[in-house]
Amino acid sequence: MAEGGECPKSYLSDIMYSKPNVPYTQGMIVLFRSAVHVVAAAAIACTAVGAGPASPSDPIKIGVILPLTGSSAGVAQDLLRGIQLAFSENGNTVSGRKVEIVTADDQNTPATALTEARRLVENDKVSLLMGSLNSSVALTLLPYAVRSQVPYITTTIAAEITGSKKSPYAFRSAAAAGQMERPLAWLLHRRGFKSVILMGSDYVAGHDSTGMVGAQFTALGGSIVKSIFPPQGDTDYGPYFSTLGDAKADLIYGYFFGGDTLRFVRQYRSFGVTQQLAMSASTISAAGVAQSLGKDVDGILTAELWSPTLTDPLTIAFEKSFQKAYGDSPQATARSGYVEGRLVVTAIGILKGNVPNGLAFAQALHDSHFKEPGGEMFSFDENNNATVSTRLVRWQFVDGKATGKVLETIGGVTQDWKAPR
Amino acid sequence: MSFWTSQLLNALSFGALLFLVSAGLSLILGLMRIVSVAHGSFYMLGAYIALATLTASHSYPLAIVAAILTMLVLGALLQRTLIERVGSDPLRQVLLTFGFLLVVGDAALAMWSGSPAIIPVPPFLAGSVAVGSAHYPLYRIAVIFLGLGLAFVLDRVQTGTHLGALVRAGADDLEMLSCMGVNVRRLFVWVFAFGTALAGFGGAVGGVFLGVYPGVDLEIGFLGFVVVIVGGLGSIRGTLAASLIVALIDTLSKSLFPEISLFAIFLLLIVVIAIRPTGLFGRRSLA
Repeated sequence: MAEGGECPKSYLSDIMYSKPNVPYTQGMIVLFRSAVHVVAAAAIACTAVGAGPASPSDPIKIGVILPLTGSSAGVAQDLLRGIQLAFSENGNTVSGRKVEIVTADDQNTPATALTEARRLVENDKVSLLMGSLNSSVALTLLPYAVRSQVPYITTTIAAEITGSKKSPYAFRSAAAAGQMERPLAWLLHRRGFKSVILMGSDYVAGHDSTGMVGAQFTALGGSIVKSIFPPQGDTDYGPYFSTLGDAKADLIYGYFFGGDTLRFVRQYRSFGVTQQLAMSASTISAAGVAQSLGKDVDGILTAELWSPTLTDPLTIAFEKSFQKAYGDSPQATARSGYVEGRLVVTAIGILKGNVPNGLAFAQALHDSHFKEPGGEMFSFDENNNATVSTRLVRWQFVDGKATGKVLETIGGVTQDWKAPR
Repeated sequence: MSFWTSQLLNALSFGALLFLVSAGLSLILGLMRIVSVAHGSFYMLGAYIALATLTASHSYPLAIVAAILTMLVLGALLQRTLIERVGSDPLRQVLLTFGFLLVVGDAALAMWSGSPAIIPVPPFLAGSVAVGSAHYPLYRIAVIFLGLGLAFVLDRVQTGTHLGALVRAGADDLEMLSCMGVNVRRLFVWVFAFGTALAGFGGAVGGVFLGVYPGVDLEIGFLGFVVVIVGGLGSIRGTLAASLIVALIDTLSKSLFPEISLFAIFLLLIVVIAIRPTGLFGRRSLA
């Protein structure tokens, strides 16, 4: 291979410049694992004999990069099952052409994700990249996909993907930052909540999410009584709640993730805080958090793209199909994966099973329209960001099962959605 | 309820919780001078086993007993089959227990998936009690009594029994204890197993408060080390005092200056190590 000599160096530089957002010890493990991957990937990449161009009888390969191990593995598996279902429903064949999904584990780390993306594109010759659950991973994969002229679809929220770093090759099939928060703030304000306490984990997403709710809330004439940012992984939220007793607010908006959500909600409950609790999308619905919370989940409001309690024909068909394939009922993450998969199936259908190059594939993705579970028509805006429906959901724990009941739906929410005057 | 009363209760309950999860580490690190970074793993396993037992049997006592017994056996096995072999070299101990932590972490992920879970509050501890003019969660009050009660019992055992005398002697001079004819090897298996069983108990009780999820092992292990280092090695009173001090500083910094709350605990650690390297109540430094 012509670039054989430069191979290892470029891999190394990617690792040195990435800053995994993980605790120190975990970081060390990740670094070590990455090093192993680098050696392995470099060895493969440098010795591989370049494969010839794919012939029409070969399967179309789709690369899916997700954190299949580590603390996000549960969510990643859910998303992956949704993606796979969209293809297996059609016998993994679209317009007579076989489609094959190749998975890779990014360990939620940008450097590993990039190594895996290179392996998928350069060795496995995938025609499309999908995945990542982490915005910093997605933002690392994006420039590589654009440079390699391979379309990349993600569900992560970073605004840049379809904003300042937009590209014909970059797609987001779910909500961008703000597409959930602004409509949620508008709906809550319309329901009579006028003063809010913002509480978010002290990192980018926590500040962004609470900031957008706060900004929309004040723009509508509401007020922010207090903003509190506990560190990630905080063990005791009691002290924060103890200071809220005499706060003159009628609403708390919280953004936390995983184990933090559990502790936050449990301690919110046990302190008998009187303010209504609203939380960000996916904090409650992801990875069985709602189910773990049990009765504590009662009455929490969130914004969601979809809920299993919807009764439109596509939701029912999706649930039936998911149940048949996995013996389990789908959660919101699985539906996100399913929509992502349906999008690819539709695009390959537009191309009649013949994917000549990345740009044509990207154009077909951009032009894809299909009805998604929830009943709306899926479409992209001019920046390849999905136009979504934002639903206000009230959670309840009935008969040993946590479910979100849809109270209200706002359709046609774009990335620059503005509250109606 | 006044701001200060409620923050004091918060500090007490969080301190008691810290004591529950770090008392075992205090014994292991203090008496045996084994630098076990896997302490959080026993907490995590204890919590998962308690949750699984609870789901299957709906019995809280059974869940707690299951967590304690499993960790007792696992701790004894780990000490007898692995840690014993690496001797007293702290670097090899760290490497071995770190490996154990990774294996347990991935095994737990495979068995219980990555979904975060939290142990439900026992029905008889749900609700709140009147403290002054307001209400305070009942299970937090229970954690305070449980932590202080356990500290009292452990302290009595350490200062008032033959076993306690051996533990203290071991913390001060291991070679001498061995020369006096004490079977140090057997003592070590018991103390290590007791320490891990305490961590399992901490998991069963703390799982209601903190939850259990991948990564909790590192978080708990970290808190345990801070408490034990501040308190001093092998001292139950020191561990209790350090738990309460760390909790008080954590609580006050959170309620008054939330931005520096994480830093506040580190600052305490730095000050204690700089001024009293042996910890507040310890007589021997780790080195």
